[in-house]
Amino acid sequence: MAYPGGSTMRHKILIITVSAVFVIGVIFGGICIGGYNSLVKQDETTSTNYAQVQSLLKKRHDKITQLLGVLEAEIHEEQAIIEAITSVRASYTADTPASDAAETASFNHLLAVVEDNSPTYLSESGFVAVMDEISEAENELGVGRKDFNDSVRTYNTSIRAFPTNMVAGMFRLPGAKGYWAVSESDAEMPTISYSMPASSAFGLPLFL
Amino acid sequence: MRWRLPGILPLLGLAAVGVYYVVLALLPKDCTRPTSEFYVNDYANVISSASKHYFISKSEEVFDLTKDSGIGGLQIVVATYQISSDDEIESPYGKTTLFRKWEIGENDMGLLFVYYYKAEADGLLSVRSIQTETGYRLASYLSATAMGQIIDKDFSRGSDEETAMAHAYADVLSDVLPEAYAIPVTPFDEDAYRDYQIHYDGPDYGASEPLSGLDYIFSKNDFWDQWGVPLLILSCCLLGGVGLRAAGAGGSSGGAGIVRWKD
Repeated sequence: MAYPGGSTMRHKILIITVSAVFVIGVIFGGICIGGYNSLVKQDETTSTNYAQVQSLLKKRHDKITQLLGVLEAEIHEEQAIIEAITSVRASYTADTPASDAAETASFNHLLAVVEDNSPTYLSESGFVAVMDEISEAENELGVGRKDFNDSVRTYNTSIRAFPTNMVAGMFRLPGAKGYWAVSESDAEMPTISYSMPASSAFGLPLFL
Repeated sequence: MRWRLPGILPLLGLAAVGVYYVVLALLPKDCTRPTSEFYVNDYANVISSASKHYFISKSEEVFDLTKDSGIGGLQIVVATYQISSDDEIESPYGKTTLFRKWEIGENDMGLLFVYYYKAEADGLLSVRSIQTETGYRLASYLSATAMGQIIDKDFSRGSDEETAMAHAYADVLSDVLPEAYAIPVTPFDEDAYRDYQIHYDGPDYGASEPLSGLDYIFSKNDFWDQWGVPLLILSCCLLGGVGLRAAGAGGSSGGAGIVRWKD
């Protein structure tokens, strides 16, 4: 004897089961699509930022090369300076973090040598102008490195965190990426000071 | 008497606004947010109302003149901070962070002047470091060399620092407006500027205060892109029109600009 209403009950269970599977499927699909798109976007950001670092590295290298040419032409009698210039030229071998740090270090050494041997040259307007360009390029490179490392950190965190780690595994997305490892002290550039007459300090009642 | 939900909602809203402002008063000021004036953020309290008015009115005029040019509206923002030691300017990315947070300039046509002041032995504040951050696009019109020459020239001529700030500001306009927008600029006249300061009778701006958290969110460009006009009207009704304040035009930068330290 058929149980009264048994068919309706089975029907309801079937509907609930199908609905539950559908909802779970939608949620899982949403996680997969959202996670995949997010990871792809992060991967692209790291690639763009890496290219930006490469471009800025080249820009700084070009600016430094420009200054080396000027220095060579104008202070060619100082052997220590010539040696320091040669050392800067030899330091940049490739677009790598090691080469990046080596060029900064050797350039800082060159500036110290110029300061020791020809201190007045550092305050000449032509030198200051080129140094402004180099400092700007270095600042931009610093920001570029930071942006790249931030994007790598975001990507590396995403591919390890749940549930995006499953998505990364399913779609065989690239694994953890390496950072642009240059410490701030290695990348530090010398600063430019300006002199201002003492009478111009704020607060003197010149007109107020 | 029973409270009906629709009747209690305005009271709850008012209470929430009240709690917000009480919490706001108790929280420390976040000087990495811009002021409601946006173009002048004088957190060191060193700029007179006359100069603030000059920077604000000029910046508004320049943005209005340039925003429909196709290149992007030019925004120039001035900020001052007081430091007690050089270590406080710890990060070389500080100016870039401020620029990006304030979203200066339309289509990256923005410039940020940051003046760090330090107390001298006699207690008077004096500029310790001048830093500028140039937007990605503006950097093609304003090189580091040009910016450096402007700062060196204007801060070495013996004027007081406030006049030097105004002079540097005007010199940037003289460099950028004719070249980028074909707008002619009258050269800055220091004597006329001092005369303007002496006879100034415009608004008194008082000490600069950073925007509150809610005001800051409402002032952001992308917020209104997302939430649109209805919220603008609502915010005007509820919060006195903060959404209509001048704010960053969405610009970004990548470290271009110069850094100068006083000897």
